[in-house]
This record gives sequence, structure tokens and C-alpha cells, in this order.
Amino acid sequence: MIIAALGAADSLASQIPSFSDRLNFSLPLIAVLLVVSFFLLLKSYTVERGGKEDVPGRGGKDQPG
Amino acid sequence: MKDFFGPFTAFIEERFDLTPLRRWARHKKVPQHKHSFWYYFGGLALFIISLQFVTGILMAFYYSPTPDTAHESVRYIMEKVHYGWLIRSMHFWGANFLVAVVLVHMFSTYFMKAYRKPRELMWLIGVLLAGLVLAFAFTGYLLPWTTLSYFATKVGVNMPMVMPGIGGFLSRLLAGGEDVGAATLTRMFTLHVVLLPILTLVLVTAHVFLSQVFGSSVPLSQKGYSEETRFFPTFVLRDSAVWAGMLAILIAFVTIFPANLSSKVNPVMPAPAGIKPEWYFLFLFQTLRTFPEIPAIAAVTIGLIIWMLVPFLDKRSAKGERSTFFTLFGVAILVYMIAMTMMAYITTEVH
Repeated sequence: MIIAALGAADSLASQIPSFSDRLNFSLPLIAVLLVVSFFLLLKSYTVERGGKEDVPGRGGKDQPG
Repeated sequence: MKDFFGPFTAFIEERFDLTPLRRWARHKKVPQHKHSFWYYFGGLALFIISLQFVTGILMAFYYSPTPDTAHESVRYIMEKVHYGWLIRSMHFWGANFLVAVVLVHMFSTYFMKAYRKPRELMWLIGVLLAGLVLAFAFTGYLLPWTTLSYFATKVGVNMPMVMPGIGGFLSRLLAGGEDVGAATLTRMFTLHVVLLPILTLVLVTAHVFLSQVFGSSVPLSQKGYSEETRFFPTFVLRDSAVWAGMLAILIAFVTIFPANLSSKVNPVMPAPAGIKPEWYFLFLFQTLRTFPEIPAIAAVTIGLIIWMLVPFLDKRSAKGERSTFFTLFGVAILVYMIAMTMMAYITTEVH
């Protein structure tokens, strides 16, 4: 079904890049986004567990603003 | 990284007192419990709305809203503009994802009874925003000026006709005349790129502001079991991770299923068989097909009014007590929408 849909999409807009060209463009982008997402998630757990990180700016977590 | 932003932060701090902002960021907490997962859908909706604004503005540079040029300009965007296929496909899939995410956000809010006092106004604004998202989808659908979009819009524009009294007026107001044509295209375009974005910006600002004032609601079942996590940086990092993941999924969809552009409409030709609206309007479409029109419209209108007024009707939740009736009401609405959507898919010929 997916193959049929790909074929239909390509035939309807024949001038858009082919599936392989689209894939060549998108795969690195998707990979980067997934890696970024993973690291952000990892960082959130590190920060939560460690409690060392702080909001940006001067002073530590427990110091008065 | 801190050094990289250092000069910029110093520049700002010399001119503005950021202490209240810093204090707010330090003290703001987000409840953490077994239903916290649903909190991410609000931020996700905001992220997709932002994407829709960006991709929509990029397309508006090339789109031309007249019957002679609309289809050609969309084809130009898809075929000639650098990455035009990507931008339009992202806008197309973004709209579908946005409706889905907003529905999930609305129903999860409902079932967690997050509408209860003091968040009644947040709920009302949220329901209005869900309506605006659907209005965006409806007004944007006609813009490519394809056979499908033309006849589906015709069905939508004629829907108010069954309402006694003001039905005809509403229908003509939407169409800009007796039938869908050049005036309808201009109206839909103006609504889509001017009026609806302004309303959305105002209501989203109010919704986000209220969510900062009141914070996230803890479901009644989790009272006493809920822990707290810091909004900054923990929740912001997780929100960002979800957004990056969403963007990856969106790009994957765009790559595998780019938005297509079917043939330009010829309004004098008869409507093709099996015309049906997009998935998010199917329950409404099937309701009108299954039941007599006037009672159906009346029932949907009453249901919508009750839905909006739930925070004021559900007195038990407001007092912190379980309200099984309203849970069942929500389940009934959800089951009805899913059942009607499935029935529309089964009984309508695939176009």
C-alpha cells in the first residue's frame, strides 16, 4: 500500500524530487533531530537527578535571585 | 555555551532587571505523576502552530488566490520553488497532526478534569482554539482549487443551509455569493491568512498566560501521589525533546507521503462520486447523513454548548470529588466521534 501511495504521489506531482532524492535529503535531518531529541531527554534526566544545573544567569540554585 | 551567550546576557542585564524572570524560572514547578505524559500535548500543539505559521508565510510569498491562478501557483510552489514541495507538504501534514494533537490535548484535559476551578477560562479558550484549528483546516482546504477541495468546500459551505432562519445567510456569508466561486476563494484566503491567525495569536497568548498563572492541574486521582519537577530546565528540556521528535516524524511523513496536487477544478462539471471531507470532519458529515438534518444540527450545537460549559456544570469536580457522569459524557462523545468517523469511511466510496 505504501509503495502504491508513493507511486501515486510521484505521478501526481512529477516534478517534485524522486523518493530516493527526498530520502537523501530527509534521512540526515531525521537522524540529527532524533539524536538531538535523545540528548535533550538524557540531559533532562541528568539535570533532574543531579540537581546541579541552574537557570541561566548569576548565582547558584539555592542563592537568592 | 554560557560564554558564548555571555556578552548578549550582559547587554540585556545592563538594561533590564531580569530578577523576576529568573525567580519565576527557578520556582516554577510541574506536577509529576503517572498521567504527566499528557502535559506535553499542549506544548506540542503550540510547536505545530508555530510551524504552520512559518510554512504558511513561506507559501504566501508565491500563492495567488484567484480561480485562474490558485492551482497554478500551488503547482509552481510544488515544482519550481526550492524546497517548495517540502514546505507545502509540511504545511499539509502539519495541519493533520495539529488537529490530532489538539483533539488529544482537549480530551486528555477533559478526562483529567483539568477544567475545574480555577481553570474554567483556560478550558473555554482552549475549546475556542480547537474550533479555530478546525476553521483553519476548513478555510485552507479550498486554496489549492482542486476538484476535491472545491466540491468538499461546497458541501461544507452548504451545511448551514439546513438551519432555519439564518442558515441561508450564513451560507452566503461563507461563500460570498450563491455558490462557491472566486469570492469564496478570496474569503477563505483572507480568513486563513489574516483573521484566523490574529484570533489564534490572541487566544494562544491568553491560554499560555493562564497556564503560567495557574500552572498544570493535577488529576483528582493523583492528589497526594504527585511529585514535582522543575519547569526550567527539566520540563523545558523534555518539551524540546518532544518537539524535535515531532519534527522528525513530520519530516518522515513528508518524505514518504508528500502532499499531492490533484486536478484543477472545472466548476461546471458534476461533483465526482464519493466526495467526503477530511477525517476530522467525517463525524459531522456522517451525523448529517445518518439523522434528519435539523435535529442533527440541533443536537451537535447543544452538545458543543454543554462541552464548553462543562467547568460550570461539573460541580463535583470543582469540589474535588469524582464526577462519574461527566467522565461518561466524555466517553460517550469520544465513542460517538470515532464510531461516526469509521462509519463514514466504510459507507463512502474511496475517492
